[in-house]
Amino acid sequence: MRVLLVEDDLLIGNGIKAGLSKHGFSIDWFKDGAVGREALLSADYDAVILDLSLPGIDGLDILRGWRASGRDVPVLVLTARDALKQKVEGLNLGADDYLGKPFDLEEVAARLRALVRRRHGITERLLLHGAVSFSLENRTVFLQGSPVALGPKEVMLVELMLLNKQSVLSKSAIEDKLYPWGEEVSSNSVEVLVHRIRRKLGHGFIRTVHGVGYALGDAP
Amino acid sequence: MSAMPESVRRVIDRLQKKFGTLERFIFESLCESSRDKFLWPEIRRRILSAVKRFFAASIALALKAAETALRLILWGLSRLWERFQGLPLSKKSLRLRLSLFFTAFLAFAWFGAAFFAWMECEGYINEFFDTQQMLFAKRLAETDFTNEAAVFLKTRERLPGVDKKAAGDLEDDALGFAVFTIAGELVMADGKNGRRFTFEPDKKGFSDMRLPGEKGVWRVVRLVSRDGRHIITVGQEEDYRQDMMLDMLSKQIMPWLVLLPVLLSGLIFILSRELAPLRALAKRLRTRPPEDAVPLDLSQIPSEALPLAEALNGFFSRTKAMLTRERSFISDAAHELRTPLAGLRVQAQVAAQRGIRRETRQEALGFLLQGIDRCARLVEQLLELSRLEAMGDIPPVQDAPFAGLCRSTLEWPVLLDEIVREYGAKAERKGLALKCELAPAPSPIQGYPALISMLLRNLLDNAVIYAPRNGYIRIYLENSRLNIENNAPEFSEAHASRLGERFFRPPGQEEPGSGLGLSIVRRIAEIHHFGLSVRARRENQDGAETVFCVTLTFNNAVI
Repeated sequence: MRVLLVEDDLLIGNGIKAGLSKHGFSIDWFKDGAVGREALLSADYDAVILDLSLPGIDGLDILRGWRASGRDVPVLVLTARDALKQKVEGLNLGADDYLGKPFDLEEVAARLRALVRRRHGITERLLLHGAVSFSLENRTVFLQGSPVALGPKEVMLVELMLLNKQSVLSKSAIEDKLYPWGEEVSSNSVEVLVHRIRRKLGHGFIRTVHGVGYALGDAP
Repeated sequence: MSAMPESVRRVIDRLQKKFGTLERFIFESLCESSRDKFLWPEIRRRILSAVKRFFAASIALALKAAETALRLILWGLSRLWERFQGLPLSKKSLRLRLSLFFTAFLAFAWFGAAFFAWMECEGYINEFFDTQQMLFAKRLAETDFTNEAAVFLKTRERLPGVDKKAAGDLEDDALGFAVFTIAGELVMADGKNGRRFTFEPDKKGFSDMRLPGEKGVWRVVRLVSRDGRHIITVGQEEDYRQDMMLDMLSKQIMPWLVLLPVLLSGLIFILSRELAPLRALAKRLRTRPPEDAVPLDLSQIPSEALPLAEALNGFFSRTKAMLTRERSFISDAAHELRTPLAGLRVQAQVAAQRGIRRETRQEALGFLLQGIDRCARLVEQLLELSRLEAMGDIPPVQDAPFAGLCRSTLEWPVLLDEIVREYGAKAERKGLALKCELAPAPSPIQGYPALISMLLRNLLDNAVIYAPRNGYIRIYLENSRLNIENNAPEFSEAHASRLGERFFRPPGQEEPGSGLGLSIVRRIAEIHHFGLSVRARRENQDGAETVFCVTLTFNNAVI
């Protein structure tokens, strides 16, 4: 899942980026609020972590701008102020969740996941496709009930496919979701991932739509 | 008894009235034992003088007793006054004080009035009696005494057929008289006093006279009779006049004395009633919660207490402002601490994650240390700032060390030298050129060197942090100003004007900082009455270089 992080504090930004990538998030981090605002408009993110106390620009203004231009991406707001008024205002402006500083990384991850799930209209905690199941909670892939060892990027791709059951994902869209900006992407990395997943979960799990991209195979 | 001469009879009657039957008995037996007519005056004189001495002694005794009583009362009053003085100020009741002072003042005024009345009375009574005396003497001077044998008259007779009331309050001894021949022979006198008048032919008109064997002074008038052969002497005892005056005075003062308690209780009642608003105010203040900032209602306060109540209101509003400032400071501080704490927590969690790369963990631990340093610095700066906020401005006159700080004339060369040495290495590490220029004779300014060092350190901290690599820092001290300049990245004027606000940091800062450094500088400048200006100006025409410049001006500093 690709997440946009707008946070001016070096330690928090760095910590979230480093900590959440372990949880299967690929994070684009911007310290400058204005740049962060533009970033959302130029790429497709699954969720946003937005700090409200940014120097020079109010986080709530950024949120207002996004919502005004029709972006409905889930936004998790981070704030050091715990004033109720600000919370209410933030939620009214379209924030989906609220976390006060200092916060717990696990909680951030859990809330982000919940936001994404809700966005895809999923209420159960397991995503199912034939013999393959995926636990959103502990990000484990099961084949006929037993866990399968997958690399982090492989898990992300499985999750991506399961979340978008009906659609065909292009190679570049997959790269966008799996690799944050600035991370080295080789030209055949998506093919490599797909190959590894097919080896572990069965060849029919992902089918290739020639000239377009990849989609989930038919459930047996 | 019937053989007794008429004059003796009268004397006995008088004495009977005055001293009762015992004395009369003694006197009558004396008369019986000696019928010598010429002995009578002598006997009478002796008895009278004895009686007078007795009275004088009694009066002296009474005076002594009165004096002792007065001394006792004065001693008691002085002890009371001491007790009163010993009470703590707050316990001195205004009502009690007012009542006491009012009474004392009243007594003083009354005594003053009585004294003046006495003086007035004295003149008036003297004039009155002198006129009477003179009138009487003139009458006597018209009389022909040539054929008279020596006659001793009794001045007062009960008027025959007139009852006591209709006779009026006649005082028999009001006047005494004696008529002498030129040669000094007593021709006529009233029985009691006149016959003891001395013959002093060279004195004419009014004068004072002492009767032989008596203490009292008599006022007498002497006239020569119309035929020129007699001298008329009419006298009156001064004591009589004094008694009359005292009588008049006491009759005048008595109603006042009777009314005094009424007056005092009225005074106390009025005082209690008028002081009621103050008591109500005190009650309101006692029950007032400390955070209450509503000003006192001044409509019921008397105008004398109004300044106090207004001062209290001013105090309340200042306290409220201070509380608000403190609260916002604490809330700001809590807010500002949350962000670094969140950073610490996140980095700690990252470092504690399982299965992460070694380098990531090392990096997280490095960030953790950096974050802890930042928190410590922030807390330190918060404390410094709150201490500085609580401190008053530098007083204009030299006095005792203030808030544990020594005050002296600032030795700029020494202070700047220290700072340059302290920051030289730091600047060098970043490739910064640190230059310091001093005016030959900077004006002497009073200040707290410890605070000035803190100010310089904060400014230099900022300069070193925010100057770009291979930039410069310039310190130059002129006669009445200190400039600290460094070249800086692009910096908007709007942001420059907000510098010095607590926790304000211009956006786009890579360097960690609390946003408190300039607030501390600003406060120290305020304490010393320095002017502080923070500007970002373009050095070159094309605006290629921005110079960040902090200027302290000493025009209002304490010299």
